[in-house]
Amino acid sequence: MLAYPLISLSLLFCLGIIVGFYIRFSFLFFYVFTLIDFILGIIFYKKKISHLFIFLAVFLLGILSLKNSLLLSNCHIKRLISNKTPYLSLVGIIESEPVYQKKVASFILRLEGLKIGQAWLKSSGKVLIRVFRDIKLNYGERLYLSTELNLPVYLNRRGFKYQDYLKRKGIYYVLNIKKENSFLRIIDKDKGDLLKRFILRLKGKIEDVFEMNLSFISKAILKAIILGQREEIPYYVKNNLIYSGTLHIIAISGLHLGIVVFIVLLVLKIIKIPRKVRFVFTILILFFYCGLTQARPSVVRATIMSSSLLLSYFFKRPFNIYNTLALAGLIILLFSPLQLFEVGFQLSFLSVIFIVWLSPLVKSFFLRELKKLNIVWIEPFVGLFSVSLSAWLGLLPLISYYFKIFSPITVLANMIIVPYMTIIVAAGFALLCIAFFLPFLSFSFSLSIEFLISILLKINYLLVNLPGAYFRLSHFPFLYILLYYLAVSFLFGLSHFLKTRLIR
Amino acid sequence: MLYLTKQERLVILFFIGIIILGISLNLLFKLYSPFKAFLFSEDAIKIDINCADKETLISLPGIGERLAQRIIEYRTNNQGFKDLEELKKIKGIGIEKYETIKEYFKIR
Repeated sequence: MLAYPLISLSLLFCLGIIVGFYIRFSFLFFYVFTLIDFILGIIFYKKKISHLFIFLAVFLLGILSLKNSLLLSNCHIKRLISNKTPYLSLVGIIESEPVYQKKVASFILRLEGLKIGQAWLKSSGKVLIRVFRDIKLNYGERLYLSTELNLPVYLNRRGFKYQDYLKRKGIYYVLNIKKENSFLRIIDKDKGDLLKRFILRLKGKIEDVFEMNLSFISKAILKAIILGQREEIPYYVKNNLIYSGTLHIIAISGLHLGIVVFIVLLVLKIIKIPRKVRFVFTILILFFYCGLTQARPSVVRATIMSSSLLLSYFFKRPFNIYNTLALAGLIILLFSPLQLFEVGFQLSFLSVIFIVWLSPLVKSFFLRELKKLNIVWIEPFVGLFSVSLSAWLGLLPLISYYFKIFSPITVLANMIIVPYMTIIVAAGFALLCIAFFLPFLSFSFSLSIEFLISILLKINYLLVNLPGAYFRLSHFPFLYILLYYLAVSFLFGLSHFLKTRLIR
Repeated sequence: MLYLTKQERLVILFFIGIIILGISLNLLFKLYSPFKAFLFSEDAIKIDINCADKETLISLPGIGERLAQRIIEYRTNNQGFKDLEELKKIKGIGIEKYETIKEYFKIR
């Protein structure tokens, strides 16, 4: 653990977040405690006991960050109104890009003012707005609206609690703008962040390329894998991907960023940009792409890890994947501690941890056994198998708990679909380049992508319909998850200990 | 000038491969149009309403336990669905609900 200091710090920080979530003591109590601990750490920093104060400080910072994120300002909408308030008038700025689904536009509104009685009060907070009208809205527009107040519907599908999900994003209310009893007017434009407006404009151009060249499903899938927008993917497609354990292919992660890095570095190399400038420029492009894809945890993680790897080449320093992963986790949680409770965050990090730790062990074991049996032809597939198996073993309890599914087909499905998906991702980026620079070739590219995606969905459907591909679980206790990962942590510690002993 | 690095060769080959695939598919669709219909049919991956069990139906947005039960009862009493429009005959499925759920299903 001392060779990987960031791991200890990030684990303590995570523990602090978890404790902070369940313990009811006030923010002030932990704040004072943290300050005292910090001062003691400074006083004794030359002595070994300072380790204790530092680790305790990190743990307490986890609690403080969590408590801080849950604190609401005095002018927050939740403090100004009650759940029984029948009707609201408010002014705010559209903070997210409106999503249009079946003539309903949904977006997050950042509040500026709220009408209480006859008086307008300065207000803060976010509300989810759903507009049931045929109206075009854009990021950064200032709106004035009046409507009835709604609480988020307590949806609990497969254990996913929608109300809690919105609360973690700081959204406590949903406002529906319907034809009757509701009023909406745009009172100003271009009030949002300049960089975000530019990003959304570029995103719009990319969406236009997909719109002009692809059918509905292919367009939905490419939007998911290139732009991180999964809303348009039909439910029966998502369902099949969940059953086969390959839903992650429509999430942006290291694979996609790897392709972006490859493209950018290659183009810069061709135009003879110096090596160090290439790396700096690529890192900037990665962060830009992260913003373009809505900065989901998997993208942020992959961006930080890819940037760290590039920086290690830049500064000619060794690269440690465990420390980098821990750093990515720390950064995400410092900004948003509640991400720790998001299924996307958990799946993203655990899959990488298990792939990095377990797949070399699995691979060397199987290669050894295959050599003994003199079966050489299968060796190229062993790498793929070990990665797939490691990820499956790592995520098995979480998938069972969140999705109530046990999917033995996952290992085989990932061995086939993930490499195949690489071609589709690369082809998607290629289509964008071609559409912008050589549009007369777009037709061939789009037809190929349609074909590739169609085959992907058919392969997935076939796999899901094999006997014993997946089983639904009525119940999966949270305790099983704890026991499973405790056992795994013990094995991890043991394997590391044995490895260190062997090296000595 | 003629020398290409390994990465450049890989990228160029990839682009050429995609274009060849696109041209081949275009030719195939012109010569044999049913192939296009087979390849790009979404029905192949939708849920067969005459075979879906209760858990599968409940897993779909807009369908709860009672509605799933009614769908299965209708299917049993009428020897299966002949047309997705028959869903509208089931209690709890109006025009709006039908428009939402019909995209999940096919009839084999």
